Amino acid sequence: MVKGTEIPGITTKTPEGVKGNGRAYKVLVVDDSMFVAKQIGQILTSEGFEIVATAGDGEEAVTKYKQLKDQIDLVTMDITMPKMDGVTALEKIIEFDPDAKVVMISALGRQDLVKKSLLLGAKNYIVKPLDRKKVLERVVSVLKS
Amino acid sequence: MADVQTVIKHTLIDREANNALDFKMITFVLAGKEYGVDIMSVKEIQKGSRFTYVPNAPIFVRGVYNLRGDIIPVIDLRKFFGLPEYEERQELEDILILRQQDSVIGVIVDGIQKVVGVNRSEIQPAHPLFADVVGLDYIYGVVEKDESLYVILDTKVILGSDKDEEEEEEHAAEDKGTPAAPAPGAAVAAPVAVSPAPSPAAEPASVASAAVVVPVETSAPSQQAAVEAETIESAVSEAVVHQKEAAGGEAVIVRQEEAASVEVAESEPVEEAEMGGIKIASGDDTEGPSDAFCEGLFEYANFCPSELNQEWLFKQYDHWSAVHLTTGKPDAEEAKEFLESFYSSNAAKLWDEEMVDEFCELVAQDEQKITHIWNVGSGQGFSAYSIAGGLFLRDKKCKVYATDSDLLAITGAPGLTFTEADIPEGFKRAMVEGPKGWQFSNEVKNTIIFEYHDIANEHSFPKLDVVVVRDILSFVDEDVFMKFFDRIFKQAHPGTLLIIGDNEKLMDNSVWSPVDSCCFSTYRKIG
Amino acid sequence: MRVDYINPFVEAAFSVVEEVLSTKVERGKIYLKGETQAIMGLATIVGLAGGVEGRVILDMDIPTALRIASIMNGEELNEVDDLVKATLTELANVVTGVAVTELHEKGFRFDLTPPAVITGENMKVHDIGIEALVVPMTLPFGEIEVNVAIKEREVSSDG
Repeated sequence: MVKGTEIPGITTKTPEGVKGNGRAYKVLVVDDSMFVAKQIGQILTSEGFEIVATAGDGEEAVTKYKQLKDQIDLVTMDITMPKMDGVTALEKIIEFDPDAKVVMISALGRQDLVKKSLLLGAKNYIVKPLDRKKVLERVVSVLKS
Repeated sequence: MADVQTVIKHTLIDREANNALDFKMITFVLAGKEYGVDIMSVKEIQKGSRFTYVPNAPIFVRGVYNLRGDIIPVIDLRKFFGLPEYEERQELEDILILRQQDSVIGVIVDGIQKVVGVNRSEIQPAHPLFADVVGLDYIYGVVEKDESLYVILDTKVILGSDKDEEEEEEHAAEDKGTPAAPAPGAAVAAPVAVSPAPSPAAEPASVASAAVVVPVETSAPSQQAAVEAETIESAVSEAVVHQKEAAGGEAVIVRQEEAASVEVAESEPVEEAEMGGIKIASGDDTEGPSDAFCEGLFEYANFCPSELNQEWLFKQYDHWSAVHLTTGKPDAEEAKEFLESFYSSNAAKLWDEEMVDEFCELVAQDEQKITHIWNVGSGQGFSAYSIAGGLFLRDKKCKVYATDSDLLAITGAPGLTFTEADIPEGFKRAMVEGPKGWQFSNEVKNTIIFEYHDIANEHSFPKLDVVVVRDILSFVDEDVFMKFFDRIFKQAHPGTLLIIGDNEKLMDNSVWSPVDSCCFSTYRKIG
Repeated sequence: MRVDYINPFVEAAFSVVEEVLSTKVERGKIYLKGETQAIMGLATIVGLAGGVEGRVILDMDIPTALRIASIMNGEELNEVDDLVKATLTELANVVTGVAVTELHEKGFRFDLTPPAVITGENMKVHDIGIEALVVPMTLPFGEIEVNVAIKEREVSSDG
C-alpha cells in the first residue's frame, strides 16, 4: 500500500485525473457496495478525477451511461451485483458505444471472467483488494491508450 | 485496446500466484522471534500440559508426554536455548512433535503459527547475525516471506541424529561438569537420549487424538547416558528412583509420588440404549479388568472399553494378568504395552496383497456401479490409498471419502509419498515415481476425496456402500459412538459393508450381521 | 471439509486481512465446529454456489467490527450503520473472492452470491449437515473468526 506517500499537489506534476486542457476526466463508478463506491471515489478524486455518477447495479449503470455518454470518459464496473451483473452491463454498454472505456473491478480474478470481460471489450481488469496505486495505474493506462 | 495477455499477466500478479513453493515449514514464535521447521520433520502439533517431571534430566527437559500411548520426551525450547521463562505461558502449551527416523520428541514453543510455503532457492544460509539466541549450529537457514523473517531451525541437530557427535558432546559436558542446558553439546545429547519406540498406531488413533492429551504421572523413560551427564543437576531426593528394563531396552525411571489431581470422568453404569440399531451396554459384572484398570487405559491411551472391544479386552487381560501384577490403574507405559496388540494389521502402512484381495472380493458388485466408501480415521491416508488403489487395479470404480480429525495428517494425505521398499508388490502398477518418491497415480488419487472431519459432527455423504472404520470407535465416547451408528444407519442400504477394527466386534443386533472374513472384522447391513 | 479447500481459504483470509488493514495477524489453531454456532456480534455471510453449497462467515464482536470499518474507511466510525455493514461485507467478499479464484485455478467451480450481514448478541447460525472449519485470527485490537462450511453437491450414487 502506498497510502500517504504520494501527496498530490506537492509536486509540480499535473494530477493524473486532469486532462491536457486542464479539465478533469469524468468517471461513472458502478458498484453495489456503498463502501467500494466510496473507496474508488476517494482514490480517483484525490488525483483530480471527477465522479459524474454512481450506479448500484448493472441496469442502472447502462441507463446512466446512455444518459451521460458524452460526459463519461471512463466506467469502473463491479461484477457481482444484483439485478444485472457487471459482465452483462459491460456487454450492453459496448453495444451502445463501442468506444466506451470500461475497467472491471472484482474480488474474483478467475481467468475465465477476465478473458470474457476483455473479449467483450473491457479495457482492463482490477482484482481486489484495491489499493490506490493499483487503481490509478490501471485507470490512467486506459485513458492514455 | 489493452493487450489481453498483459492484462492477464497483471491479474496473475494481483493474485500473487506463486507456484514454486517447494519448501513448506511450520512456523512458530519463540521469545518474540519467528522460526520455522521443515514440515517433513513435524509429525504433528499438539497442545498439552502437566508433563510428567523426570528427575535428573537436563534442565530443558520439561518431562515426558503420552502421545496416544507413546511416551515421548518433551523439551522446552526456551530453556534449550537459554532464554528466560515465557511470561504469558498458558495452561495448554503448543507442542511441535518432531520426528527423525525413530526418534520422536515434543518441543514446547511459545506459539505455533501456520504453515508457510517458500521457494527453497530463497532460503539464505545461516548468518552469524541471526545466531544471537540460537546457536548457528541449529540454524538451517533464514527466509523472508510476507514481511516476516523466519529462522529455519535444523531439526536434525536438535534431535541429534549424529551418534558420534552425541558421544563427543557428552564427554565435553562431563568434563566441564556443567549442568547448564544451553551448552549446545549437552543440549544435543539429551533429547535424543530418550529415544522412544516407534509408534505402533499413529494412524488408527487419530480420531482419538483430537481429544485432550492426558498427562503422564508415574513413568518416564530416559537414558542412562543423559542422566549421568547431568548428575550434578537437581538431585531430586524425594523421588523414589528405580530402574527396570523397558521394552526398548532403555532404563526407566519411575517416580512414585503424588498422583496428580487429574480428574477422570467416572464411568457410570449406563443403561442399555439403542440407536441406529446398535445396542450398547455396560456395567456387566463378568470377570475382567477392574474399573481402575479401564480408567488407566482411557486416561493414557483414550481407549474406551465397551461392548465393541470387550472380547479382546477380556482375553488380553487374561494374558496380561498372568505375567503382570498390576490389576489396579496401569501407568502410561503399562497402558501402552497392554494396547499394543489391539491395533489392526497394517494400520499405518499400505495393506498387503491378501487384505486387498479380500477387501475387493467383499465389495464385489455390479461392475458398472461406483462403490461409495467412507474411510473414517484415514490419518495420513494409507488405508484410503490401499482401498482406492486395490479397486483401481481390479478395474472397479469407486469414490473414497477419507476423513480424519487430525488436520496435519489429512492435509498431507493427498501428497503422501512412499519409498520403494514400503510398497507391497501389487500396488506399483497403480503408482508413479516422482522426484520425492512414489505416489499413487492421478487416476487413483482422483477417486479419493480427503476431508478434514470429526465424527462428533454431522456430515453428509451420498449413500454409502462400504464404511471402513478400523480402531476408531474404541477411542470415542459413547455419545459419538451412538451418533456414528445412527448416521451410517441412515446413509447405508441393505448390503452395505461395515469394516471395523480387527479386535472390535459388534454385539448381536438386528441391523449389522457378521460376514466371514480372514483379514477384517466385517458386517453387512440386513435388509 | 475437503482438504483441498482449506488452504485457499486460510491463505485468503490472512493475506486479505493483513493487506487491507495493514496489520499483523496472529493465527490461531484451526478447528472444526458442529452445526449450530453462536456469532460474536456481527457476522457477514457470503454464499457459495456452483459445484458446491456453502457459505463463508466473517464473525467478530461489535467493537472489532467498528475498528476494522474505521481503518478501511480512513475515518472514525462509532456505530453499526450502513457504511460499516457495507465495509465488512466487502471484506468478506474479497476474502471469499480471492479463495474462490485460487480454487478455480485448481479446477473447483464455485460461484459467489451477494453477501449479507447479521448482527445481534444472541444470534446463531445453523447449517444443515455440514460442520464448519474455523480459522481464528487475532488482530492487535480484536478477534475475527473465519468460518467456512462447504458441502459437495449430492452426486447421484449410480454414477
